Amino acid sequence: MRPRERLAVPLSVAIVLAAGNGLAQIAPTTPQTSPQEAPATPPTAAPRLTQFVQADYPPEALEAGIEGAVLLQLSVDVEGHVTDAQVLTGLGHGLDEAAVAAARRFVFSPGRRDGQPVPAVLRYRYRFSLAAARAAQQPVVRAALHGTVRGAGENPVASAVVTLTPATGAPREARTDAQGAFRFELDAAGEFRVSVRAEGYRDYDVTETLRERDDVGVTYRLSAVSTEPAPAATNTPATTRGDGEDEAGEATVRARRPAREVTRQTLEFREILRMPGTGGDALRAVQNFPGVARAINGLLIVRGSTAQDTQIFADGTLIPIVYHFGGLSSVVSSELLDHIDFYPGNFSARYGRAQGGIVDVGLRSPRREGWRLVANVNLIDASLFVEGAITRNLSFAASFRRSYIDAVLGAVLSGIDAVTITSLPVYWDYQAMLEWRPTTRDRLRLAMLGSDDSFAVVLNRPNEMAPRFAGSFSTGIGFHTGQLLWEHTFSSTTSSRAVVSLGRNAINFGGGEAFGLDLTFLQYTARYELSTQLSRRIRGNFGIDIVGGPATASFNGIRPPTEGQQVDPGNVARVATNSTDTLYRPGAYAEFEMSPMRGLRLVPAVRIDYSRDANRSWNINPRLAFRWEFLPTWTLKGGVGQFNQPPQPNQTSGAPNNYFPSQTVGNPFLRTQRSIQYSLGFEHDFSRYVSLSMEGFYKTLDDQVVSQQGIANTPYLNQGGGRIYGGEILLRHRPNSRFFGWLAYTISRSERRDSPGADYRIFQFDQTHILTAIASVRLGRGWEVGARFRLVSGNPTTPVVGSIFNGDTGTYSQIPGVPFSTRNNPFHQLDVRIDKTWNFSRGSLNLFLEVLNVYNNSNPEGVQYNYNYTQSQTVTGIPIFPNLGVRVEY
Amino acid sequence: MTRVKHLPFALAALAAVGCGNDLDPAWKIKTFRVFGVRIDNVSRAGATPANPDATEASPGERVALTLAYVDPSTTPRAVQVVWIIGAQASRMGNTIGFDPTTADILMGGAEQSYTVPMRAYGVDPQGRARLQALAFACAGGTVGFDATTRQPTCTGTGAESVLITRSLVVRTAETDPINHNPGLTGAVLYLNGDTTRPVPLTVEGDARVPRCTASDECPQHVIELTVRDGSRETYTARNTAGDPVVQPERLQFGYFVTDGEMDLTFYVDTAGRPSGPVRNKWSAPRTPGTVRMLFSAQDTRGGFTWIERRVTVE
Repeated sequence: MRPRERLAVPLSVAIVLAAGNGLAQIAPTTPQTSPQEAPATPPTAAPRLTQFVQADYPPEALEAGIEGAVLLQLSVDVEGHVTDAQVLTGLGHGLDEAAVAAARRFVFSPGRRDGQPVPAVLRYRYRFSLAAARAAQQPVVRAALHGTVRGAGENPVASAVVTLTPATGAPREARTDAQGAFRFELDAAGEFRVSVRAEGYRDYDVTETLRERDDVGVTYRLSAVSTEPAPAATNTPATTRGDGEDEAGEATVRARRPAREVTRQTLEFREILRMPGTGGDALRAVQNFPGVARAINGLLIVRGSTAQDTQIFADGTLIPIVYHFGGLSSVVSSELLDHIDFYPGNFSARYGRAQGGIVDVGLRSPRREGWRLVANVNLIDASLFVEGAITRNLSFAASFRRSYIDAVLGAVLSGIDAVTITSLPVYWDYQAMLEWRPTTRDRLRLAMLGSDDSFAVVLNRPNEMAPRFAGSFSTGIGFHTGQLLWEHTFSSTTSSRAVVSLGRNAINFGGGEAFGLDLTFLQYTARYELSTQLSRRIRGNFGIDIVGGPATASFNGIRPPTEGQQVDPGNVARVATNSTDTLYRPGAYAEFEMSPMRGLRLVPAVRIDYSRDANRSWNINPRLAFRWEFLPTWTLKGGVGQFNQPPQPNQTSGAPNNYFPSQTVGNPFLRTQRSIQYSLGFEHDFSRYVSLSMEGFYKTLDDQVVSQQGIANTPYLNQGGGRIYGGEILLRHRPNSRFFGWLAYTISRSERRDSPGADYRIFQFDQTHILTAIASVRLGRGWEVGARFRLVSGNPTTPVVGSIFNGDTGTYSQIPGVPFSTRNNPFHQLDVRIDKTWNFSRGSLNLFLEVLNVYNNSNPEGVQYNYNYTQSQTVTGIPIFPNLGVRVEY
Repeated sequence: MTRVKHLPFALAALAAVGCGNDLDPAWKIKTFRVFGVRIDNVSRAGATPANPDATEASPGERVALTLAYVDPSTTPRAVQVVWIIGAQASRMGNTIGFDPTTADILMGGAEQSYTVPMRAYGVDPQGRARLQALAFACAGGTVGFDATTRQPTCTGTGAESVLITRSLVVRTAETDPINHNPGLTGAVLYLNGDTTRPVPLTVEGDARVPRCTASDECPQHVIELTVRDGSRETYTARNTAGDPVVQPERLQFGYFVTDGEMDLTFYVDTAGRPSGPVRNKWSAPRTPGTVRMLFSAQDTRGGFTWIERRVTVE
């Protein structure tokens, strides 16, 4: 039975509570004698109710709209216990039985005669109120914790006693059902002590922290008493012992209920670790969701928008890069992730300055008891993660990763005399955090995040299509960010969250003597949100955020092309500049989560943004999202909203072009770009684990920035537009003890036009069909096998219809045909992952083999031409590629 | 600030050096090929194609346009060239841009002369005034025009064509020294790389080289070009800060052959190698015969020259 169906709040609650305070509301009846125990005369002091038991409101009565009072006759013995309960006047529909069942558990102070307790018979009117019951269903649940208790061999443990103890207040208890399942619905967020007791198993204790509106799913695994020592009470649940079937580190999986957005896809920890084809990398796993196009260089192309239109956050801080070397791995360790929320569109007003999608990476709290060490080693990189408690309220976590592709690639390139490597390719990243909980209402966290990629070579052989494109080439991208987070709970209905960060982002690129970029951005961000229950049916979220800081750039090259622009690098105007532009982009929003009726959630919101660098633009973004559970397990969802995004800083730069002092690098009069987004769909839960989501979307794009090669001094204009429409289907099986997987399909069309009135053309990365199937199965004895299959439309290409010899350079330039009028052949690839895990008393060892492109399909990724474009050959993607890795947890 | 993405640099590097390329290399002359257009200011005193020559012209001055080409056809074919010369449209330095409404049309062979008109000019990426030339060279055929595709045509059995663009720097101010074409005075071949025994390459093919008989890799010979003194002129350019700087030209040399195997198509001066020996490696073919070789040199400011030599493979 669903929890809310069990919720029943009889009006008598108030009466009884009052009674507990000495206000007699119980009508003692004339005592009825019985031969055995009835007193000879009525008591002079009537029994007083000291412990009321709330009756479940029968769903049948609730749905039938039955309310009223059941008149009971209760017999109370000399100890105050109810020995008999009879219905004198009933309501039917299960209400009589519910009243009797509850009343039998009442406890009274016994009636007294001459100071001595005596048995008594009394009448009690048990009232049921529909309004109170329904009202009680709505806002009381602030958070939920549910899950499964499992024992040896992944078998569910039935009748285990799960006790949940809040920091303040009485503990609650639940027994697991035959499937080992339990659920708590809580009227307050906070920290809870959870203990699990089951016969034949060792006791298990853990601390869970639930935020407002969390709906957290967990799996607790118990060890049998007879075989192994008890696991330490940890934040990470225990591992199964004796049969080697399970492993630590994946026992707690979390999923949060969508609340403020139309669609939020959340990756669970086990999915991240075991998803085939991603190497256990969380952000790469995001690319398998519907709405995300396939991209070989790790770009996130979300619902037909450019990669620049999607923003990536780490707990509210904008991350300047997402992947090392364009997709090898993400810059944040998966070990530190609590969750990843992915919003393909129509996202909350909490987020601004983006017209594509949002990826929000939530970092988790370090464990507060004991220590944990995790080492990962694979063919590309190695990492070490450690976390632990310093004091009761102070804990830490740290992670460091470094690649060794320098050794691999260095060996490969050393055999090519065309290349001299001056700096081998290396990437590394780190995260460190210190978390302090001074009170039960506060959580403070100081975190440092950093990443660096660097590589430098000398190309010794002039390229025959661009002979002057030779010399020393180097690239370096890195960031170092300090972040301070403070979460404070004012009350059970009001909380706040503040995040400030200060960091340095640096990008440098050297391309011979023709190209050079040295950019340093001292970025600050700040974000504050106050969330409070404004009324029983309305919750308000109010926030401000800002991104800004000085960006100092030294640039020499050609202007970066805009989406879809065909550029012959040797034949466009050159730009050189040394400039400092200061970004200042504050924003504020108000968002209301409204529950006007049962199952319906409306979220109207407005966001206001100011972008000084976008010609001092003010943008007001109204947004509306809704979710309506019109039937049990069926939810209708939709949204509409406006989303503005400032142009790239180089596009709005007013710095002079040193080669042409009369020109500026960009166009400082550019406005922000705009997108109007619509979406409508539904979700259906087939079971606890299996769900289906279907959603259609439509987006319009206005004021898009396009390059204007033909107009001096205005190299960029807000003349572009676009339209994107499509549908997404996600049939998902969330992780359970044996299986997880999903089937995602997206059909869409993304079109652009480069000036008003121009014909629409296909978007550069438009992919009509995207099919992704993922499945991972536990076979037992620590073995797990997974596979991912993808079938995707080929990327659009622009045909070359001829060439022209450029006598100024001695090389040929292509004559392009209709932009993006042809496509590569479809992409299809199968990736397989095999895991074997051994568990030990103090840790686990996981060995995995991941094979990309198992059947070695030659997937087309582009076209390579000869010197005069009369010959071509297809450039294919990676061939079959095995990757072997080890993960050790202690 | 918005994220910055970049392609995997290693892959880019591999692509740049042409790994896995099964396409015809640029150094291989298999069809009618054009390698450049030399512009000589014939109005300047003492200017002849054999002497250092200005490649820029002021309004009213006359220039000679000479197409550098090789037609490997066994039977000599006439080459017909149509030139359209006009002001480049203002397109932010896009050298392909062309304004046909102010164009002059010249028809003839591989050599033409043209008087720089006095009218509006375009601007090149360095900010200099210039005219744009568009040429259509047709070997062994007749030049026509397809009204449907709006493209020139070259019709005839086995006819081949090349579309060419070339800019002409117009001197509207005499503040900067005039640019000259570089010069190539000769080429020598070092058999098997032995630099102590140079073999001069001649137009007639006097140099004799043994054919390759090796079962695997053929021996490589070194071809060195002789660059005329003064070819690497100094000029004033703007650095990235916008300040004027005097710097030497860095020449780009091209090597093209009808047979055998060249190591590189281009040799380019670099900052660390501004004027060293201009050398490349060549392997003789496995079959005897005459190999035609064309070597070119050009600066980045409009200067161009070439020489053609032959080698007899025995």
